[in-house]
Amino acid sequence: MVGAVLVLLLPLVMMVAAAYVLPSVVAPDVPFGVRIPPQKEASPEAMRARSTYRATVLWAGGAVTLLAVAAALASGISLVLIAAVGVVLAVWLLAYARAHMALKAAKRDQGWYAGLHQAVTAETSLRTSPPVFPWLWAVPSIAVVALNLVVGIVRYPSLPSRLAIHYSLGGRANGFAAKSYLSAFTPVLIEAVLTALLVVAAAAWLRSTASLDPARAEESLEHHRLWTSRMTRGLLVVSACMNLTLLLTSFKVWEIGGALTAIPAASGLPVLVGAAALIVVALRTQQAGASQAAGARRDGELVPRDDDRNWIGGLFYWNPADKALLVPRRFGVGMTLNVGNAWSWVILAGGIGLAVFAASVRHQP
Amino acid sequence: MIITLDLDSDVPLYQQLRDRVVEGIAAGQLEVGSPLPASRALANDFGINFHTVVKGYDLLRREGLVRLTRKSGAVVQRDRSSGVPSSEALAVWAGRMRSVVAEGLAQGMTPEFLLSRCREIARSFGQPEGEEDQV
Repeated sequence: MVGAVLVLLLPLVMMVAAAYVLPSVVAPDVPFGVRIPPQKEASPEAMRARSTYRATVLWAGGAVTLLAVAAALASGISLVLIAAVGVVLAVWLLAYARAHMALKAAKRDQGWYAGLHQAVTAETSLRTSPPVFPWLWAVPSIAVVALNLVVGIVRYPSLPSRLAIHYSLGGRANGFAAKSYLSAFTPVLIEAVLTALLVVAAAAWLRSTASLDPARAEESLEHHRLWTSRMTRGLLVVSACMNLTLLLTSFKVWEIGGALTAIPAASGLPVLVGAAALIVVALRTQQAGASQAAGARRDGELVPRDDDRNWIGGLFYWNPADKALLVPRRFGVGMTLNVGNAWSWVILAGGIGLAVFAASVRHQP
Repeated sequence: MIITLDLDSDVPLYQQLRDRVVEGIAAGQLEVGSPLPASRALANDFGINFHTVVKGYDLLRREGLVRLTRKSGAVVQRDRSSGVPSSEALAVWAGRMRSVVAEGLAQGMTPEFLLSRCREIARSFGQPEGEEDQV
């Protein structure tokens, strides 16, 4: 049952850890989705919001994790894991919402932007000679998909007529599908779609509008270059890890790979390791930037513009005037859709449709 | 080149954009042939109205400092090594200079003081290669 405990524990622990660490990963002048003047980054309100959030995430998240593990071990039902993930997400969201609203209130009630000149800063060369997409870093991801496809093509003829596509915590197969190109190659299809999406997201990240600080423009530009360069490459690495996870899953369905796929947790490891590595890189890059910024002298009274009105709750970007479809998240690592752009809704609908289709394929008696 | 626009300034944004580009050329950050982004892209990056950038670029075009490209961007076409400006450009500049000089004189500056401050300011834009210091 050790494997089962790991399967439960690892994603939950990672979620709690990610939630805990996230405030240090996001830009310091946009804590919990609220734009604040750089002068207020170390204010008591900002510090309190962060420590309260962290305490909530740690204690409530930790409690849910322990309860879930106990409940699953007692009952052996994998549904507990999904329920636990949902509860941890809800805790995370509530902790975030409280911090977000506290900061918004402080900003408004204390007039944090009074007397400051808001400014916008842009670097022209980011458009006249934009950074080149690091295709070399996409090669591993694409290679895994190709490998998976080739192995599948070779294996397909000798597959049994009934495929085990779902496994319980104990490692026994409990969901089946009739053999078909669609059911056998679902993991490969998902990999291809996910890879394409992540490449698009990485490209969008690289070309995203730089959020520059007018009072220390050169340094914030340098930080932006470093950050987007690392994050796009990191995203491509995560893509490769996701594909590896799906590859191992497909090997299990295709009944090949032997010892490698016997351990229930093994297939999930690559994506968890990849995600953890991305967060660590993000954290270190952001901390380096923050320590550099803290020591820098602020040139005059110009502060970055308060653009809260483009963000709903600090989570959803709504800006019909912005032609970008994908923009970097405010609270998080990665991109989010510009819901002010009509195409986002088309994509969302398409994504939901695809997910429903994939689910219906897998659960045939 | 980094351009900052003060949203709370009395100076209109298109004027600030034009001023920053002019200063960039004066400081040697922009030279003949240096590209400026497409107006939509720059407006997007600033989060301001596209027409504001168009207006700023148009000011520069009328001064002969940039020419607009088909891709709705601009290219710098005059810099410090471009030689004597057209008589039109000189006249416009002289007109504005007249007000500034008058301001200084009205405030009680002597012509010598005025000139030495002007020289300092001109020097603050740096010294491009091949330009000799004319006293």
